[in-house]
Amino acid sequence: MGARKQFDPTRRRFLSLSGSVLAAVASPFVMSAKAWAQSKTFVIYSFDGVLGRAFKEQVIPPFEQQHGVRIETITMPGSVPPMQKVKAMVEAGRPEADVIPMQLTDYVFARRNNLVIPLGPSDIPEYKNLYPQFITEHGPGLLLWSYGIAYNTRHIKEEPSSWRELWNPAYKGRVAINDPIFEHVLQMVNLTYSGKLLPINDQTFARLSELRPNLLTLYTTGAQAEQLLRREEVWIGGMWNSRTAAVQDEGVPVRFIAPKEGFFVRYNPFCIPRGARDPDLAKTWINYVCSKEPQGLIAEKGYQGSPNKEVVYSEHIKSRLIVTDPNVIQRAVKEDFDAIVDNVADWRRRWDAWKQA
Amino acid sequence: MVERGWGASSLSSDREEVSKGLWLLLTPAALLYLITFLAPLVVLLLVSFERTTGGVTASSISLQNYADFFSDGVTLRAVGRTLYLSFAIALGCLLLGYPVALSMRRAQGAVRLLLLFLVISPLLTSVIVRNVSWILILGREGLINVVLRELGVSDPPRLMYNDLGVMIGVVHVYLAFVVLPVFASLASIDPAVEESAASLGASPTRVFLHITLPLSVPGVIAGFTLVFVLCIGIYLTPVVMGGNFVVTISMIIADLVRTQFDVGRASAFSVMVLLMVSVLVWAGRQYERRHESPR
Repeated sequence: MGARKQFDPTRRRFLSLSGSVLAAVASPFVMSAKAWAQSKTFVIYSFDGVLGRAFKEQVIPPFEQQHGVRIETITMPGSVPPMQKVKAMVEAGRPEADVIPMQLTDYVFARRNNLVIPLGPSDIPEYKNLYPQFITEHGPGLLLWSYGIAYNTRHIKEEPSSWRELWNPAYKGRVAINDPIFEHVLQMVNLTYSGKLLPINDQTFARLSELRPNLLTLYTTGAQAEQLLRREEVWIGGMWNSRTAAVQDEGVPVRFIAPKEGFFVRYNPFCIPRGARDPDLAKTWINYVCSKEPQGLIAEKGYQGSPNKEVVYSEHIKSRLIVTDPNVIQRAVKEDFDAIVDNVADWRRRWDAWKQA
Repeated sequence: MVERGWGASSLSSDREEVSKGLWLLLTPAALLYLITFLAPLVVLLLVSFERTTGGVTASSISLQNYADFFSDGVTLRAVGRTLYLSFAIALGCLLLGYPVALSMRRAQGAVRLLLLFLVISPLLTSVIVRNVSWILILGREGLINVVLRELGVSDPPRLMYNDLGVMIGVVHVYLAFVVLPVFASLASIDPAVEESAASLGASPTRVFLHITLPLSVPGVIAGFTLVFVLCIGIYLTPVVMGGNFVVTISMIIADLVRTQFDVGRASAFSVMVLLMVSVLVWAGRQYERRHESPR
């Protein structure tokens, strides 16, 4: 007889247990009973919006056919994984999904809390085709997106080349920047005026205050950013390339550029949580998503760049994506995500104080 | 005497049966509350003593999260702004909703139903869609500003991305929460009371001020309190309609969880908000009772 594990009612255990029970009860992503019933059902976190549709309609079906499995997707609101819920589930030993695409700050949180398993070249053979800077210790960084300048070509005839253009007095009340990834804004201000991303200090906020007369709004969601561009409420701003591209393809006169001081490129590490039900299938799925064909589809349908060197973009999508060639990728600034996670509380406090001023 | 005694005993036994039946009926709802409301509250309270640094939670417990709530000017300003907005929105709902409730009371059949539908229809729309749609009307290039510019106003006022935008967005939705209780209060007033006053020579204004309005106060208090309390938790509308410049306590709490991975502090702040709401509900109920008692 094996040693029976005694129930140890510590506060931590109670919290973990309660957390997982609550997560199951209150989850907005309720899994269907069918998904649990089928042994060959594989559960992954997926994206909302255009990208989510691209996964559901284009990327997932070939994999299901090839491997004889059914993939159940759980849509992450705002395409952001609920990391506290993930932590509670991993600590309780039962994560609801086997693959979690994370934002880079989420990844730091996952790494520090030991929530994900390491993945090497033997697990993901496709690593050989990826640019090395997009491979993390716990999974490949896929879905390259950029934060640069979007501008309205009808109102701004001369293409801006610098972030400084946001401060141009001619654009009073016509500029928007984002709030949720506010560290991009803070680093952008530093990049513009000191050429370095860090440190975030009084000087950063003083420059930000100089931008204030030009600011119409701090947008939160991608849908909101699109609407601001579509309605031509905003003429110029710090925007995400995929949202700008979607509006551009609707015929709105907007363009996305990478300013000369540098621009931001982020990606989503695809990770496997500890305690995943089927880690082998999860690795196979991640390897498949890294490969040339799905990466091409994601670029075409979801406006996301690929870390795969073999992907060939159409001319149309090349004009929409900034990060399609290694030379441009080199121009992206290198963010220190550990420093961001360490300082985000202080930065956010100062950011909120600046907003309230 | 015997008969009365038997009758009393039977009545008491019937009451016990009814009481048991009532408890039985209440059990599923009570269990649901226990699992989905009380248990999370206990967890929230326990987690509120945890400290997190750089995304990693310390094993020790402390009261520091609560101290942060009271010592951080940014948080306190957000609380103040939330209370101010809640009060302004509740007042706005009352000023706009009372006449609507009065009209509903006087209207009959289809007209009353139509008014009811108009009042509750904003609740049937997605909050994101509703808020983003407001850009079409209140935005810089929105309908109102375009008309104002056509009329010669060169620099039309900002109707969005400020407190005004938030108030418009929230009043539009929460109007129903004032209209319905006020309407219920008004509907419970016996028309004979107002008719008697009128027959004794009171003008319609006098009847309204001395009969209708005082008798509808419980509905007014209920509606006002409900909207006030709901507004303390508003998140998405200030984010979109306030352009993120209007910082509410919910926005701070959401960010603590999402960006800072600090569930402990978010929980402590939530507990404080919960206490605030409880005090407000209690105060509203006391005030309501004081107005109900003479009746």
